[in-house]
Order: sequence, then structure tokens, then C-alpha cells
Amino acid sequence: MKLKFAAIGSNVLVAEEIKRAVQSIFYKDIEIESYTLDMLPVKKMPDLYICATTQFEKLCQVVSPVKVVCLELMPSSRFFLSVGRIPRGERVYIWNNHLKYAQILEGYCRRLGILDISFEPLPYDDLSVHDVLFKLKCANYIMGVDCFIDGDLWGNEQYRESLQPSVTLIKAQRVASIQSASRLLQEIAKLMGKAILLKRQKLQCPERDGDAAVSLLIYAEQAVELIRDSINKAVYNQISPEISRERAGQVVDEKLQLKGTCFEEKLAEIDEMQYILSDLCNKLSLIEAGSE
Amino acid sequence: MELRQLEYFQMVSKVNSFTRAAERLYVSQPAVTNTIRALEDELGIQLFDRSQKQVLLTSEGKIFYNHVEHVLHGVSKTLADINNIKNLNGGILRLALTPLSGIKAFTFLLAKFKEKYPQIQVVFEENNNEDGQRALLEDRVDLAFLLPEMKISSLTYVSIGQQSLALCVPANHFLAANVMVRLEDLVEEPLILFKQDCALRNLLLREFERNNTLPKIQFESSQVQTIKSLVAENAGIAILPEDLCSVDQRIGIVRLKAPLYIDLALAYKTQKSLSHAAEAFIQLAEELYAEKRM
Repeated sequence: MKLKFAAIGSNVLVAEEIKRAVQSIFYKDIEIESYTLDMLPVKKMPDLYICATTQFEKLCQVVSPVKVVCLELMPSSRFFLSVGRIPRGERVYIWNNHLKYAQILEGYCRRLGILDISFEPLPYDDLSVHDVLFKLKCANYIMGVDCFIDGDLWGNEQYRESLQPSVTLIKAQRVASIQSASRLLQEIAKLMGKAILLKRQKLQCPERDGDAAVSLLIYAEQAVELIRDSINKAVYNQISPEISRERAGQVVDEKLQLKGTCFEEKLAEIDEMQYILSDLCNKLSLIEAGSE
Repeated sequence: MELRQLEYFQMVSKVNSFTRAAERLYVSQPAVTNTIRALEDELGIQLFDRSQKQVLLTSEGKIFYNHVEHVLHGVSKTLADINNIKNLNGGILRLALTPLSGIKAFTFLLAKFKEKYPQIQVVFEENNNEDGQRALLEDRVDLAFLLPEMKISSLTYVSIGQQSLALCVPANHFLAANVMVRLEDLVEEPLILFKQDCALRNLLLREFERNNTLPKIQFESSQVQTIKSLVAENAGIAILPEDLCSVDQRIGIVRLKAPLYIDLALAYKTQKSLSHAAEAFIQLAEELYAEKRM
């Protein structure tokens, strides 16, 4: 019952970024592959397609919209704290392929109270190479999304060599916003809930289905644990993806040993887990809506 | 990293004091101080300037505060609810009881809950009816067993049935031989009542008034056992829920000719996000008793 995901981006860098953002929500390994829109999988069909908001319409033209979840990516606190350390009066260049997201990044910084430095967008795909090189040569501070700084700036020899040795690069590791992580987790919870329901309906005979009931109960408990822990992790990621990796969780199998051994009890516990999963789904929808 | 760290950070930022934040969060001051220090260590920055009389956010602390506010805006309570689900096989259910909570409908429900959720710890707070309602409104308890005499609009009441009242008399009392008695027959008898603010007392006094009579109040107590001991010692008579009249051989039980009943209810605050333990308790009450919300 392992779920398969596909991370879809407008280009390889973005697709990989979405993949990393999805992986970072979970404490466990998940099955996820990254694809560009024109290279969608045709054989290993995923259970869910995850894309950036800008790709939603295009993706829905080729796959069923019910299998598509949009992920909104946001820089974490760490990035903003680094920008906040830039000395007063300095200028920071915002490295991005296009102007629009550079302006969005500037807007985020200003809303958080970073007002004593000046921001200058550096939309390298919208400018001539000459203009880009000119700005890079005089930059003391450059900020931008990590994959663009690592790839299109540091990975480009001409651009890299134009940088001053003392330049400070501030890279934003973007993570899923809590609202979009909630949406994704709701979909996952629904898929898991359906799988549990189907298997649960087949459990009838204690002699024949005893082991299957135990396996399903473990799966159901793990599903609840996965959803619950993941929404917490989505919050911690917003603060700092590095410090959210540690997990002080319980081990489901150990918990299971405490439970009764009777077949009917197992079924009741599976039903209980289904109820909790659906309760979690309702609560996640509140988070998605940003209301309490 | 834990949500608790962010919650403590937000509170210290708002009240500019570790001590006041601890008071508001109902935790010790060292717990707040240590949590903030751990958060600062994890982030590698100093969030607060502690050199002044007041604890103030540093410039980095202000940026972090704004970001945390943005991230948690409108979702922190729901996140707390989700984390409460963690306590399914543990956790605490806080329950307000009245002196009448020994009635079987209440104890049966408690026993069934304990059987179904053995790892949830149930903590009782004993109050009269009015205090029980106040405890709910002030979030000191999750649920309360009440006699819903005066309903409060911000509380929801789940009916768990009715209980008939009976007369308790000393075994050698002249009324003990009767099968039934009328309230009017009790006017000259020394009556032992619950103290003021008790729903049962109010109900009895109203019934006496309806019959144009007034009881002769001999003693008042808030304890069922004290009332019964006084009856057994010939100090007076009492009217109690049938379940509580018990099997004391020194006490005779007589039914009332015009039966009197008290409503029993499980109450909770309507506009409150309940813990999973509380929700499970309400669901069980609704399953066990046919009547639903009142």
C-alpha cells in the first residue's frame, strides 16, 4: 500500500526542488520521482502529482485534476534571519530567472520588517548578459532560491568568475507552506483511508484473517502517525529545515504490543484509526483554510 | 524542534518577561527560560536582549517573531488539536463532578470509558452544579456531569437520562412502612437538604412551594454520605436520587406518590476545540444513551 508521487516542475531545477520539499515533510523515505511537464511518466503511474501553482492548469490538461496537488514554496526563517544580518544601508541583489518571483521575495522580506537595506532584482533571464555581469561585479550581497544560486549562478563559469571574492550569497531553501502541506496531507490521508477501508471490509474470519488484521492495524496506526507527524514537520520546516529533521516519535510496533489480541478488538482498533484519520483530514482542511 | 518552543517564544515576546510568560502558560519560569535558550541554540541566534529590565526582542528576534506569526497565523490552535490526537492512548480527561455523580448512569459511563480507553487518565474536580458549569466556561475541565437545571447557552448538554427521587427515612421511622408518600406528608418532618446552589435542593424547594408547603430544614450538607449518615442516626429524613439511597440497613426507602425526576447530563463548552479523549467520552455517552444533545 505504499503510495507513489510525482513532482512536476517547469524545468528540472524546479521539479527537483518540489521533490525535495515533499521529501522534507516526511520523516520516512517516500517514493517520489521528479519530472518536467513534457516528460511525464507513462508507465509507473503515480498516486498523486505534485506541482507548483504555475503548472497546475497545464498539468490538468494531461492528467486528472483529482490527482493533482499544488505546492506553494516558501523560504524558511533561516533565510530571512540571514537577510536580516545584512548591514544597514547595504544593497542586496535578488538572483532569479524572472522579475516576478524576485519581487515576491523582496515583498516577503519587507513584510517581516527588513526595511533598512535596499533590494535590487536581478532577473537574469530577462536581462542581457552584459547587464547581469555588470551587476554581479558590484554585488556585495546576493540572495535567491538555492537551486538557482547553485545552478545558474555558481554553476555558470562566466557569472561565477565575475563575483567579488568577498560576496555573500544568501540561499533560500524553500519548503512547502503549511497550507499547501495540509492540502497534500489531506489527499494522502484520503488515499490511505480508502485503502484501509477496502482491506477492512475483507476481514471477517478470525482464523483466516488474523494476521491480515494485525498488518492492517499496523498500517492504519502508521498512517495516523505519518499524517500527524508530517504536519508538525511542515511547521518546523518553515522555521528551519535543518533542525526539523530530528524526531522524537513513538514506534508503532511497540505500541501495538500493548493492545489486545482478540480479532474483534483488532477490527475495532482499525475502525478507530479510520475515524482518527478522517478527523485529521478535517483538521487539516482548517489549516489549509488558515482558520481555527 | 517543538511547537511548544514557538508558543513560549510568542508569549515571552508579547509580555516581555519570562516570569509573566510562565504564569500565562501555566508552567514554571525555568521551563520557559530553558526552552527559549534551546530555541536560540538551535537557530544560532539571540532572540532576546536580557540586559534590560524587560526582556526585549533583538533585531533578529523581531524578524523571527514576524515570521513565526505569519507561519502560525490562524492555525496554531488546530495544530494543538492535531497534537492532542497523539494522546489517544494516553492523555488526561478532566471531568467536573457534582455530589450526585455517584448515580449509576454516571458511574456506568465512567466504567465503560475506562474499559474502552484504559490508558486515558481521568481527573476529577468536585464541585456543585454551578461551579461545574463555571469550570467548563473557564476551561478548567473538559467535561462536566451536571443536573441541567439552569442551562447556559454557551454549553452543550448531552442527556444521559433521568433519575427518580425517593425518600430516605430511618428504618424505624413511621413512614418507613409506607409504600408511597406525598410531599405534603413530610412538612412536619425534619428534612436534611443539600446546601444552597445545589440543583436538587432547588428542585425540592420548588416542589414544596408548588404544594403550598414549606419543609422544615434540619441540616444542610454537600455530601451524600453525610446526609445518609444523619438519616441513619435518626437526625431527619432526606430526598435523594434512588441510586444513592443505597443499601444501608438503617435506612428505609419510600417512593414518592407524585414521582419526581432529575435530568442527568454530560456538558461541555460549545465553542471549544475538544481533546480527542473528551470527544471519545461524548461519543460513548451518545452511544450508550438514546437521547442526544438537549
